[in-house]
Amino acid sequence: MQEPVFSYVPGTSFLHTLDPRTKLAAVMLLGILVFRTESFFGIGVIFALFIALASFTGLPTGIFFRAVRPMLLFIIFIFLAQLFFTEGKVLASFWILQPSIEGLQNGLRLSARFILLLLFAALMTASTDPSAITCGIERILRPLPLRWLGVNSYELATMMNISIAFLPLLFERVERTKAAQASRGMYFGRNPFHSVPALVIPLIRGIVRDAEELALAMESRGYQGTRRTSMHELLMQKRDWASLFALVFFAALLLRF
Amino acid sequence: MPIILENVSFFYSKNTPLETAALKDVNLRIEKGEFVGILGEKGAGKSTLIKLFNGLLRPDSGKVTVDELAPSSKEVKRRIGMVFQQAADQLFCRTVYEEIAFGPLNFGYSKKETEERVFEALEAVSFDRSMLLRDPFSLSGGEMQRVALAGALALRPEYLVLDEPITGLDPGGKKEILDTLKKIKDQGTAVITVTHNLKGFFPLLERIVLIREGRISFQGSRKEYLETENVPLPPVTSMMRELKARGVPVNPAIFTVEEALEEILRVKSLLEKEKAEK
Repeated sequence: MQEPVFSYVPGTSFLHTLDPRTKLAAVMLLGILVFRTESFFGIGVIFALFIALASFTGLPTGIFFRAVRPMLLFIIFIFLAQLFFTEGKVLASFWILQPSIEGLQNGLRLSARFILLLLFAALMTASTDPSAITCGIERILRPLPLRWLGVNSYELATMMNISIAFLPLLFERVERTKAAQASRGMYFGRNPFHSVPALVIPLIRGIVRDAEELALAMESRGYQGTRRTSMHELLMQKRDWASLFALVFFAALLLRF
Repeated sequence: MPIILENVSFFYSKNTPLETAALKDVNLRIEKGEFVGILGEKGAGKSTLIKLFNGLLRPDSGKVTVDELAPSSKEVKRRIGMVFQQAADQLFCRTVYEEIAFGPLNFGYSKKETEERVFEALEAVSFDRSMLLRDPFSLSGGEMQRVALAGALALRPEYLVLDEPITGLDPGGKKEILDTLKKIKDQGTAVITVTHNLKGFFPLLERIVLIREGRISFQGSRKEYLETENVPLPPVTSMMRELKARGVPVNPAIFTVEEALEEILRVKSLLEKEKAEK
């Protein structure tokens, strides 16, 4: 069994009942906002917004932070790169490394932005059924002339749906392989050249095998990638428009100051 | 010294809305040299239980010790050889040799020592040396499982722990694994296996631990197990019980088709003899 990272927790909160398109638009808007906000005050306000929204879901805030954990290494790397490679007033000097004050600020800002982005994404995935997310994306993409690229929005939606649905299984697979290799005395993190192949090779082989089986099973049931009818047609409600309006207003206000 | 679990509980996704108790207040003791079967339905907590033995999972409460050592120590990973259901999930080397040598090299044994252990493990799973240069992915399911088994044996474990080792194998593969496990047990290594394949394993088990909803609902010898009501039985044992219930004077304590055949034939000749005497 896998601890949830980006998984859906069923519920009936305000965020749960919003249209997936509203939440998708909100995540995009917040993404832009996060990267347009320069001041630490602004970032703090956005963080407060996250806490407020998270409390709406009725889920403990801690579970959203799990979404950050897999990316932690990347975020630390970005922070360090900014810290040491930004020109500016030198803070201290270790050997050839000279962290600057500007670097510290840039690093903090950039890592805070990535963390916020992940948190909002986690908020959406925790409060939205994966199939509703893809349904929303499909609906948003439908007017675009994707045919010229050789795909259509239905195929795209199915692909996303499957990727999301299989994500927990992927983690389960990782855990299984990790457990097997750790039992043979492998210690992750000590020697990546040694441990990465031991993890990645069985993983890729397993995923390819799963994908082949899934494709066969889908085709056997008549899947052709053409338009399919859906169980629930999406409908934007008053509260969706109201939430989007409130968010745009909030963004405008924040960018103003 | 044995593997000891004292009042062990374990939860998944603790402190989240998805929290589920996998094990509740488990007390268990596994001695060296035993052949123990851990039985139970899917989701009962069997796989969680064995992952506590070598520190892959840590109990939320209670205590686990292996030969008086903490399960997180590296030495415990050596003393407990672990083999999982899907051997394909752990094979990654280009040759069977490298695959079996992976464990010993992780523990820092010399090249010579490792080679010795690989040959020994290979013999234990009844492969000949031509196998060593083969690509593990070109093997059958049963052969892959034997490579995984050899990989665990190369550490010369005191306890061999297996999670559904014969599920999904063809009958030939199943028999290979079962024969190998019997041999390993006879050489003094404790074998602990999680299984729901009673048909294959029942004849080998010396002690049975039955888990229901995270609790141990039975533990004892095979004989005691057979005297217990409402426990899962091998199909052939159920059949013999049914025969007895319907008035055929057979001995129901039978676990294999061969034994059943013999027993039924014995009763048949007995009945014929009685008839002739009348």
